[in-house]
Amino acid sequence: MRSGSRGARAAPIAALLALALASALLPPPRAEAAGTGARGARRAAAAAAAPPGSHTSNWAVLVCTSAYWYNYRHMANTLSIYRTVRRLGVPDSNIILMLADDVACNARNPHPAQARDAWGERSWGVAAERVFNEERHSLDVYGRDVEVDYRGYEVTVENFMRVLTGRHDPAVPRAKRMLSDAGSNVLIYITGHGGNEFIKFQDQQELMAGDVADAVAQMHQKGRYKELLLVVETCQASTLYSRIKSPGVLAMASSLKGESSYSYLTDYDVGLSLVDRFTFATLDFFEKVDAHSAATLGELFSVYRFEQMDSHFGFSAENFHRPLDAVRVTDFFGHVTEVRQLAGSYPYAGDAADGGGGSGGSGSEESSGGGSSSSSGGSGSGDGPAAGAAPAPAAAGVKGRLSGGPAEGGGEWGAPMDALTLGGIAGLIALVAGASLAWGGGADAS
Amino acid sequence: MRLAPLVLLLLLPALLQPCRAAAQEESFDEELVITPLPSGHVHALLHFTLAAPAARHYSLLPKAIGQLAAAVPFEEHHQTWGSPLLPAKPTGAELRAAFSPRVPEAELPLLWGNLSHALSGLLCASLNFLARPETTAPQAIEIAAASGGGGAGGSSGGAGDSSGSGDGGGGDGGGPRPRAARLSRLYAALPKEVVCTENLTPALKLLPCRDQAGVASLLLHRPTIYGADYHSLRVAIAADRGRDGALAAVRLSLSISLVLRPPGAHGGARPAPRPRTYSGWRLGELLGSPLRGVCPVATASRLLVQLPPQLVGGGAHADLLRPPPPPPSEAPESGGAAAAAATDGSAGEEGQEQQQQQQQQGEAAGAAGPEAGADPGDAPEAGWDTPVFSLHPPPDGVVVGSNDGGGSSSGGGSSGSSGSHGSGGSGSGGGSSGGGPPSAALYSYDLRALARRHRQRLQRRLQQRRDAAAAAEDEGVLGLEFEQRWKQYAAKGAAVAGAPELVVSRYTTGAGFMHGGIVLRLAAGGGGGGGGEAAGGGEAAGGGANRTVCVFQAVPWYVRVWLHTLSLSIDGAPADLDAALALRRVSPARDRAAPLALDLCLELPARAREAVLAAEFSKAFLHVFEWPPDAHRGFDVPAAVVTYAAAGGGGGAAGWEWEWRGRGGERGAPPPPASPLLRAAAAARPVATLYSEGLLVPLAPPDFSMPYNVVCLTSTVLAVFTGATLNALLRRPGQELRDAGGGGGAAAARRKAVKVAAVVVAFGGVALYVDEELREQAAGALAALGIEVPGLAQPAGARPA
Amino acid sequence: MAPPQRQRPPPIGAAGWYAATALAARGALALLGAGGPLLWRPEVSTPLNSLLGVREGLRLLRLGLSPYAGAAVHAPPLVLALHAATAAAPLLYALPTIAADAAAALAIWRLAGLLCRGRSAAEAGMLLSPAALAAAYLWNPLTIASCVAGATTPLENAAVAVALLGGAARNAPLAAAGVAAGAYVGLHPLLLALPICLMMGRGPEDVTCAAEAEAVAAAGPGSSSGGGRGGPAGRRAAPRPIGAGAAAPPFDRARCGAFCAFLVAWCAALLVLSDAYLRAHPQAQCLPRVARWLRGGGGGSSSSSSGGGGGSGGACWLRATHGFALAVEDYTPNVGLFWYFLTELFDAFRPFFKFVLHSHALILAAPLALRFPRRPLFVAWALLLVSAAVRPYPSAADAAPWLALAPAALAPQLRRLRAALFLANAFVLLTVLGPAMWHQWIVVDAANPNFFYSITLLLGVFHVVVLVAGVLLTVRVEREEAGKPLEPAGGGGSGGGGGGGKGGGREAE
Repeated sequence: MRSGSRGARAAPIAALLALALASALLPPPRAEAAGTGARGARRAAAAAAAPPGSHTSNWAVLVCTSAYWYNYRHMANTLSIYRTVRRLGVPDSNIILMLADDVACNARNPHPAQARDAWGERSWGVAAERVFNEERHSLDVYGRDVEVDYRGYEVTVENFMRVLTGRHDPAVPRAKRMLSDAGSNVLIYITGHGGNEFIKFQDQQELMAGDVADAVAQMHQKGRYKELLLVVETCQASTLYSRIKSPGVLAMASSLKGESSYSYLTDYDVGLSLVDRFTFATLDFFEKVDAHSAATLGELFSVYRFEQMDSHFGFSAENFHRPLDAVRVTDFFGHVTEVRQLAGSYPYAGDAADGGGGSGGSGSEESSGGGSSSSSGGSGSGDGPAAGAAPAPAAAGVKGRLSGGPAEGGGEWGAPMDALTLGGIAGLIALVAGASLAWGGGADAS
Repeated sequence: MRLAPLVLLLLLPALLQPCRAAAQEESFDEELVITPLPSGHVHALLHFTLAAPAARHYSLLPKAIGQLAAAVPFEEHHQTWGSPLLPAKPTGAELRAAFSPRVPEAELPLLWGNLSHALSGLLCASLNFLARPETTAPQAIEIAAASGGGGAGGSSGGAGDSSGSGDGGGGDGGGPRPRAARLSRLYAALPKEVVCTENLTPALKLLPCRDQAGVASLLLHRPTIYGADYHSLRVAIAADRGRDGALAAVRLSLSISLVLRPPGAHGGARPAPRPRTYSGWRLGELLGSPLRGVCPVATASRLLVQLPPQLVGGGAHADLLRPPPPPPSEAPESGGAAAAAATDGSAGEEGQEQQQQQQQQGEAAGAAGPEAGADPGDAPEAGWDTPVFSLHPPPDGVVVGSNDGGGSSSGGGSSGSSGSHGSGGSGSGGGSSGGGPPSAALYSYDLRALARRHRQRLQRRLQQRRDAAAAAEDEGVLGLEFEQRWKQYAAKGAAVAGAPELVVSRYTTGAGFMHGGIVLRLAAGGGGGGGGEAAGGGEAAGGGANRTVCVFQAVPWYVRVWLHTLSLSIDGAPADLDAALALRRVSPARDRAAPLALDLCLELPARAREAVLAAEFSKAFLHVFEWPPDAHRGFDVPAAVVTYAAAGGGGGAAGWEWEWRGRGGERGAPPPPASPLLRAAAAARPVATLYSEGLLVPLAPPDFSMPYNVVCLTSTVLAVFTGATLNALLRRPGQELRDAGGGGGAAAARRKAVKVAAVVVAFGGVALYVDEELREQAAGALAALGIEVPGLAQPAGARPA
Repeated sequence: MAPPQRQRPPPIGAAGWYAATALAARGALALLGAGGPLLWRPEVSTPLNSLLGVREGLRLLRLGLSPYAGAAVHAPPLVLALHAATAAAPLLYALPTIAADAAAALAIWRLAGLLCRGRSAAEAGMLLSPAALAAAYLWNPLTIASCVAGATTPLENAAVAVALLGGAARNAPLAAAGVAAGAYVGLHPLLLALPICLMMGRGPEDVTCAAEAEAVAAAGPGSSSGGGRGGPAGRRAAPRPIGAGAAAPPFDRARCGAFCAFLVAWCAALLVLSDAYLRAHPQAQCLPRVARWLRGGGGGSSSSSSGGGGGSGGACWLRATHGFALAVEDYTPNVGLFWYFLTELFDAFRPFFKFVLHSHALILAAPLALRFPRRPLFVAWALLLVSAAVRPYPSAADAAPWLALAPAALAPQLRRLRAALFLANAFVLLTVLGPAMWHQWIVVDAANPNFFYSITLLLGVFHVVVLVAGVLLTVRVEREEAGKPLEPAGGGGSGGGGGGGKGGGREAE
């Protein structure tokens, strides 16, 4: 999972992208800014009210940053965590799932509409009495009712940052927003190909550690989380959260700086390795956990062993103030059900006009041009008989003259060269010639 | 081989009476149509319809749909993932909207953007990419479908079957005819969009029973659905508005269409030798999960089994059109020769793969025996046994669609020559009621009644003797089993049925990254264009009218089609495009702003067997940040949409008449209650729509790793350009000579050396300060030399970013 | 456009027949269908000058659409009108370009004749006789290719030649017409207005060797002028040239003003004609927009935005032609420096760097004019070279004007040029390597754009070297004519022109 040299070279590009993104984000939409301000205050109050350690809602942002079939295992990683949090009670509306590709319906997938995860007899001493589908060695983590919020090209650094910071184009539906508040625990899981202080998004863009730190800081200021658990499964994963300084942030990494994260056994049915070792160990742990279990993060952290992962598990609790043995895994992977009415309704026409910058806003602007263009196309060409007014007499009537290619007869030649222009050009030339002749004569005379 | 479905968003004009009728009270209809295909595949179409008046409170209709309908001022609004009864779709997703003319032009893009964003959230598809203007094309020409009264649940793929009357008149203005669209239509497509469970799940969540009960429960086994040869999902949202523009009613209809290989039928994997055959099927095995009762809140729940069209036309199988009488009557043996009804327009619609499907033949139906289907002992009654097939359980009745005015066409249909509209043209069909011959027949089951009877039976059995089997079967959600088993394969009919009326194919020519050509080929279907010839014959009978074919093609701006190279050739001979043009709308492409929208309606000679539209294009060169992550995949060109009046002009204008023939012998007009599916089919009937394959156009990718190098190199050359020239301009040779003479060569050389050294030191220092890796390397080098510089190399973390 | 009758026209030798055969060769190539492949050659056809655009525009006109509704047409309306009759025909499509080349050759012939100042070319120390120069222009493969491809560049070149002829003849209307027409087709010839103004005011410099003879005579035998090549002619006492020397007549502001007035008039006439040609498509007309913009400042934003964004049904034709050239949005490869630079550039910096790139065309005009106020021909040559080097969509035929002008207008410099072989070989090598790399990248897909880009980069370097050499040589010529010492006594030819040229290049790099 080493990041290609191209990624290293492209690092400045990503930096610049981030810069452009930041510039795009800086002027927040007025309405939204006000809303966030008020909401932020409300959240702060709520947070103050909430006793320490108890949160009011759970959100999960699960990101798979790499596309293509041979990155099957990254999709499977993300879907494994998705399955876990779903199993532990987080509803689909509270999960933002970003999959850079669709392996389930990939033509190369021998099991259509399924994404397998290595399991069963090869797994590390896990009892096999678990809900598998027909083959016992692999587990369909794709499931029957998965809902992917961002897919394919939508999985970009920009969209990831927008989800975290909550600055969307007004037209973006709620299903694609993370509507967390100061009382919610947020789980962020990222997997893909990465390197020192960056992770690649679809081999094109890069998410830098600085970007993550800034986004988290912004989330803290906007009161978008109470506690945040960042799980990174990539090479040199621990470097990705190295710059986070915001309080209440706990981070787990599959490998330390200079280490690679490795994939787990190859499945000869699919022809690829189905999962990465860190996620495998995590899932291995969570398959024993149910919504009511009292397992703590401390137990979870004790699961990862070097001889299994070939990389050292890393975590950073410097910004996290609760003892890990007191934190239940269900605080992040589970769900507390408290419904809270959020201000604002579904945004529609009119809102997008003063859009919050970024893609959608510009899109709306451009689309105005597009609309008028379509109108022009309609009007310019729509007038069948009126086309007679065009310099092409052939264009008169309903029949559009589409001829004029090389195979065109001589009759059409003079068509667009109307008398007025002809006379005008001739007159101009005559004028030039006459003037220059006269001038020459005058010059002679003088 | 799997074809992904596509989204088609279609806003139809308001004031459609049927919708009005349907929108009085809240209703939920679920229907399932099973159609055996000649290739041995079985086509299953699941259709759900939710209708609610514009109330503040819905009990069945999802809130999101109501909000969508209320917020976007469209007249009516369909979103379609294709299904062969309605035109089938190419791969990818497609979005099409027609806003009411009341909406000002300037607001359209905004509405369009909001609509696509909302649907992307609703269906977990990245439809929001369609909000970008460079993907959105206006569609200015529509073929007006004559609004016939009833609808015909025609054969699979709406291309072939249609009324034979050349110009039957009726409807508005004598049949379908291209005209300027009344509504402002927008069109966009996502050819590479993958469709999978994540799209089906949210769509099914719009239904009151989700996929837990009713017809939708057949979809529980996702691997079967997405392993199908063709799967396609259609969601239709319709908002009826009164003349004052107030929201009158909202309808949501969802239909999933699958082309499945019934277990045991070995067709489909690869073309099998003769004989062509229809394969038997059992519902549970077909879809991998049994039918679990009916949705309790459903107002209607119906299963329709379609009779292959060539068995419908011609009087040979008239007995099949009669419902099984309470004592099943003996049917006369059937002659194989049937009027040829060209079915499976999907050959053209769904691209090569489907076409191969049409040509390929399955083997004898290895369907599981009926005994598997019927519970031993107390089957309600034996299956319906006809010489052609056996159907279990026997249907409640037959829905026979016939078109009046069919008699007018003295059709070659009965002579079997007409590939295109024999079914219609088969003069005096058997059992013909109303004006014309029957053109479609579907056996209908009322699932609710069956479920009720089934449950009563089970309870009776429980009261009598509570045996484990009954108990097990009872608590198992009552598994209704349906089975059709073919005895006689109607091979000839199937063979002819394989020929669509029109086949559309599209491909690119040329090589290299600079330019190429795009070719759209319209060929009269049927082996050797028999369909075309037959159509010609039919036209001759109908008055030799030309066939009007409308081509709509949206080309992204980065494929720069040169309109002046657009040429038409008919049967290989270059033809004058103007002469063929009946109507055209062209809106040229603008870089990064709008695609080229080409709307051409050609009048092809009736006897033309092949028409080829060709044009050259040059490929654009995008800059680095315009490229998608998979740069070398190529860029998609959306499928071309070919619409034409089925059977050459005006055929479908004649209204279809539905006749309901119940088992009790009762006859009536539409099957009670009126089926929304058949209505929808009727709406799409007279106009056939084909989609070409998608295209991939490779563009020349730049070197994505070069930005800094290129910027530096070019800037250097430009700097030299200015600097050297200015230096030469300001050069004072005398001055040089003076200081050269003054200082002597050595002094000048020394001065130069000092300058160079200063420059090197300055830039080296800057480089060392900026680049930490370089600093580390330098430290390493110095260390190797034995010099230790403490401050030079330090970890990156120590320094703030 | 008969030239003024001051000198007897130079004789047409066999060169005339060569020229005729060159024109015939164009016709033959067009007949043989050489135009088709050339339409897709990046060195010949660019988005700006391609015949495809012209044909597309005519097609859109026939469709009843504005040619500039889309993004395909970048040819001015009158160019469309010029090609309207013939663009579609398989053979005749090249007729306008052939005529333009003939006109250009004629103008060059007359120009060279004027520059000879009544002497025969040999006496005047010209490298080529006027007729031979015209024939060389016609036989230049670059012009042939561009002409057969039906590109609009020949029209521009013809306009440039006419402008120079008018300037040399001090014929204000003719020069203004040439500049206006050139600017109308390709914008960059507008740069020529400056040197032609100088010519109007003071007349072209004397490029015959008479000037050097004068300089020799003035400086006395002590300083040996570089190279006795011009010797025999130089010894003859020559009439004092108009331009050179201290006793030049004062700057003729009247002519200069007349030239400017004529320039404005012709440009206005072209604008009006274009709008008249587009009168069926008001959304493509420019003057109404300008009027609207002038009327209300508020309307300005809308019109400019509609022009920029192409909204409101396609832009005004100026936006689609010259505006397209200025806001470089089409990155189709060509022999210039812009395309790959902008392809790879980061979005945030595009506007700035577009400005910087375009500024290079202007940045040298003023210094050149200030440094060589008495050598407008050389300034014109340098500006032609500059515009060929740093225009957004250059084609190979853009090198034709300065190549053709050099032997006549830069005769004294060329007489001192020592790197001729080096420069010529470099140019030939580039013309061979460019298509090869293009083939490797586009056709075979065995290379990436960097290969072709490297060639265009080298072509840019070549332009730089040539420009610097020309400037250094001119400096040297001026000093010689002014009779100042070039190098310390006994310095030999170390400071020689060619050496100076290459030296200049070396110092620059």
